[in-house]
Amino acid sequence: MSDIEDDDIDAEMREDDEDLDDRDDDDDEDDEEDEDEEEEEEEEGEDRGPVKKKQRKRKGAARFIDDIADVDDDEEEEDEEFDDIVGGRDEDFDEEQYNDTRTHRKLDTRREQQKEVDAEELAARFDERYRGRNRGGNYKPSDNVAGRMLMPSINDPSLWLVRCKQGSEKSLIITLWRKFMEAEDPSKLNIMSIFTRENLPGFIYVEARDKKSVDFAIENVSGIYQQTVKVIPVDDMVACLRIKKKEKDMKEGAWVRVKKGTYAGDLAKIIEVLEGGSVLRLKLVPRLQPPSSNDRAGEKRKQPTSGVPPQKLFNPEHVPKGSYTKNTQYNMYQYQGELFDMDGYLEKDMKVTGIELDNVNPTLEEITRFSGGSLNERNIDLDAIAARSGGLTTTDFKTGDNVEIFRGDLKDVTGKVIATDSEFVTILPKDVQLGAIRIDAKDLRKRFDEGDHVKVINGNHAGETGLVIKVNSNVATVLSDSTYKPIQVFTKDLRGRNETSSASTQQSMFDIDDPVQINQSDAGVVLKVENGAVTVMNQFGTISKMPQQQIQRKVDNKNVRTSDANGRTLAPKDSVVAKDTGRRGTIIHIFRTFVFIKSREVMEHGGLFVTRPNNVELLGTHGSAPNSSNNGGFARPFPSGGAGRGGGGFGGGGGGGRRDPLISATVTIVGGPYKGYLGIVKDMTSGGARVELHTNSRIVTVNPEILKVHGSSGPSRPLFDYSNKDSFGSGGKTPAYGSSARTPNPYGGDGGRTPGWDSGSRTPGWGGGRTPARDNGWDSGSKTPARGSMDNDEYSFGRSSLSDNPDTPFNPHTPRYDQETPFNPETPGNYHMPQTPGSYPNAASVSHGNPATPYNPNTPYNPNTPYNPNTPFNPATPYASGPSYAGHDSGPSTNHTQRPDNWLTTDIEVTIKPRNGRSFRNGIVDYKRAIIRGVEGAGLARVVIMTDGRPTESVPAEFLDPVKPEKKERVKVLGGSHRGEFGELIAIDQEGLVKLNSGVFEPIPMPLLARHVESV
Amino acid sequence: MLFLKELTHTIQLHPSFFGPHLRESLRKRLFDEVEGTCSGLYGYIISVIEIVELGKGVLQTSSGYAEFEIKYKAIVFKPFKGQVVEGVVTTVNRMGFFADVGPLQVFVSAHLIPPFLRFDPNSNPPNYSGETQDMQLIKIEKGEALRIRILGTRVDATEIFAIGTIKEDYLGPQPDA
Repeated sequence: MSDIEDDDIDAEMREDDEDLDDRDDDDDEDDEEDEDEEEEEEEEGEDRGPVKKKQRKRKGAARFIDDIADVDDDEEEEDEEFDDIVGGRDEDFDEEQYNDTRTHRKLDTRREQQKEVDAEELAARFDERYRGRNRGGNYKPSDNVAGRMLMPSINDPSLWLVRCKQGSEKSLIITLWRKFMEAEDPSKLNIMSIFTRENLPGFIYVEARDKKSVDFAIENVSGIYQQTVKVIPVDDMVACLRIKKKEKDMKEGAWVRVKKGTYAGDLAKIIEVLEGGSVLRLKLVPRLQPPSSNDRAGEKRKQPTSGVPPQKLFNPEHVPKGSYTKNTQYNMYQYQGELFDMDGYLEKDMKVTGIELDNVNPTLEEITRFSGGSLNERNIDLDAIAARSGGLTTTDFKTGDNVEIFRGDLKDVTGKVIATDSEFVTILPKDVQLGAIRIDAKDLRKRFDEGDHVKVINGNHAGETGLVIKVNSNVATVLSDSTYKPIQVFTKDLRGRNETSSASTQQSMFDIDDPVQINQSDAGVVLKVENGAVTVMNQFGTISKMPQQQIQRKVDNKNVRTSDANGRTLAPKDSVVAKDTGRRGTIIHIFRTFVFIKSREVMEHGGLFVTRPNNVELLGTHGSAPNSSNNGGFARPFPSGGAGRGGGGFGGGGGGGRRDPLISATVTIVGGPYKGYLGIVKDMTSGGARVELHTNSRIVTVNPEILKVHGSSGPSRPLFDYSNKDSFGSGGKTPAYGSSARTPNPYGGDGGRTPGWDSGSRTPGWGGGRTPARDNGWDSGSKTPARGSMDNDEYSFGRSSLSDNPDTPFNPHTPRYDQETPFNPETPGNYHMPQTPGSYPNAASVSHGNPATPYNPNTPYNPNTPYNPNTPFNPATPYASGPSYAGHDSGPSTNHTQRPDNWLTTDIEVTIKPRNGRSFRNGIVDYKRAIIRGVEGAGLARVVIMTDGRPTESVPAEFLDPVKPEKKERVKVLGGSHRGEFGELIAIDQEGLVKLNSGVFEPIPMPLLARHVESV
Repeated sequence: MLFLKELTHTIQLHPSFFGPHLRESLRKRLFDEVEGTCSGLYGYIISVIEIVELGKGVLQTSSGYAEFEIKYKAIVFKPFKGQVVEGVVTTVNRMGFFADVGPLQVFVSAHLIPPFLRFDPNSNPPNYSGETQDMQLIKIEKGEALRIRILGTRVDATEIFAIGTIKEDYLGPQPDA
């Protein structure tokens, strides 16, 4: 007899001893019901604790069946009844026998009795037992026997898979067993074994020699479906009996999930494995009914309230005194029949069958609840927690993931996943020359470095993306892209993202920061995207979470415009500052009179807030770039619908926010104490215009009525009314501004400040009065814009079919212009401009077929226009033809420099430059500085190259660029009314302020100034 | 790092610009549309240095717009992992601070600030302050210039966002630098 057998019998004997003792004490109670006996036992066993009781109960049944847990209650009762009978018999003998022989006798009796009761059963039992043992026995010397010798062959009995009623597999097996036992001819049932597998519900396996035996066994057994008997191929038989190692998961401290009952779905921690692994003592976060209902519970049976109570730790102070007891021995609270530990966690025994051991996947939040609510306090534990929280499977890894082996021989090897299959992951180690390694997924973990851009794929934060700030073996701290808040996530729940991918969430139609139309009346911006739901802030700043179907659509807000507090155009993506809070941010969306701004300085709602447009100010000038680019250099007939719409809306409501066109104009004060002063209008207030004087940078407030735009000869404030009258649409309306060409829509965008502002100073139109244009008949009119002609430029573009030549100064045709422009009397002069021959080819180079036009007799020129064949040829863009400043040709601001074509004059410094791909003298003197010593007409200048003092050379003007003078340098004026005069450059503002030799201060456009070099 | 890079940009030009100022407007459009933008590949385009070729405009038959493919050279700024940059602190809060490195935003998490620097929420403006081993008082608050190592970048279509650290030797505010 083996040890186990002995033990069994010993145990039985002990049990019986107790029984006998009982009987000694109370003979008369033989006939008592089982229940009574149970009670007795319970009392008796109290000091041994509750566990003992169960163990004892099972003992009787354990003799018959392997699986203790699965025995029916009836069965147990039978056994107990049975014990009773035995007990009764024992008693009879007891009186006659000696104590020292008692045990022997008892053993004998028991055996005898067992024979009596069911010899066959006993036989079967032993058979069962020894069969199992033999199997085990065969395995024991497996050191010597090769494993495959034990493998089933075709000569061995086959395995049959039989469908049965799900859930009753075990009871069916017992039924079959009984049938076998009761069969008249057991040999007919040539069955070796019957078993079932936990992970294959609805099936039982029958091991038998032939199908006949199987059919015989299962026929007439309800719950077994006879039709579906299938033989298992020999090769698969081993797999049927392979036992997966469960012990690992059932270890103390492992995480499991409850399947049924109040705690269904809850995470639990195994405290203890009881009864050979069939029962687990678990630690749970209790879900107790609120105390209010507990009060009544004492009196009446409590009606289960709907829903599951929330998780909350048990706190004795929160329940009525006396409703719980404290068990000092175990340091536990007992309350409502449950045990709670000192920390308030529930300790509960549960059957393994009701517990999910695999795929637990505890989230960090759940685990946090078990560690006292805060992860930081026990940061050290995190590693262990994560390790216990279930290993990774191959599906967790994707090709290309960075991984790290964290246990085993290859610990700390890092590499990249190159392939995965059902069980193993193949990795290519990074640092070590190991070659590809196939490794169990359980030994791997994902590896992230600080700074990696990752996406959370599981858990509460699923879908969020962020940058890894910190990695603590298994737990990474990630800075969320949307909220800039750090979140803690298991590395296994992270996936690396391509560096250049956006923070979008693929599965959703919406993305963070998308402007959306929620319904007819509300718009909003997406704050957060989760599975199927989006969190949106609407125009009132209210946050709501809704299914994404509920959102009407995503809007395209590219073309939406509004105006800020200063009347400047706001468009999405502009940088702005909120006036009340001083927060800076970027416009995400504009909806009616609400602006959604995202600011880094605001922490809540990912930095998003809503405000009114009049509470924001545009920052810098770049923000409105799209606008100014729209305007280009021309008055556009609003080609892109968006600008038109935006502008239109603006124009309509523009009365309040409109910028006074006088702002930033250079004006002469024509009356009052400051009469004669020159200045720039900084601001227009109700009290008057604030003018910064050129002389001493002082800002004075002057009545706008006594201001005259500098250079204009007309009445003061000539443009003011004019431009106000104008609607935004008709391009030409800001002519008086000079730079109108550049800022056709002064109300949109930057209102004349950019780019018109810089360039404005240089365009002759601006300083029209002073520039040569004025004197010598607007000679530069060809290229410009000067006031009048520019206006026509625009017009001609608008109806180019009429003019065929966009540059023809159509001035006289614009009646409005005629009436209102103060310069009108001068305009005819425009058409007598001397031309530089050099301009011809350039005009041709503009891909517009221009050159042909002037000669076209059909050109519908107004006969009034003094026709000068040269005139119409706008020498194109200045950078192409006109000399521009040395070293400055790439700046956009100089593009519009207007320099008379006959600028050549002596005693100025110039740079020799290649032009249009051609160089003077094949470039040998390129970029050399030179001094013009003489002008030879026909656009040729005699120059002396400064560096080597070479003799004079004749250089065509087109290769020469006057050197831009610096402050305080001597200058020579190249054009305008002061042409040829010398002076000193005092200041450079939008134009250069020159103190002429005559002692007069005069602002002169920078392009008209050149550095003067004294003649030798 | 800053690079001089030759790039191309396509501009669709409305017919109203077809005229003598065509190049002008192209250049302007280029500057407006390109400068200050950020491309994932090259980083921030800081400044256009030179236009290499304006290209030949191709008329789009459907719209009448002309499409120009402009080749230009520009200075681009692309932050790299591990690069040490200098920036100015813009916002300080409990979670760390933001700094601007030119157009680039860098966030330095509290985890990546040396432990001796503590967040002081009561001061105005809020700052991280503490003393170094040689008893020097260091204060990180808005406007402070400091040296940061970039740990990682996130590149979106329109901006680059980086996280950085000052938890290394010679990083953080520089004395007399």
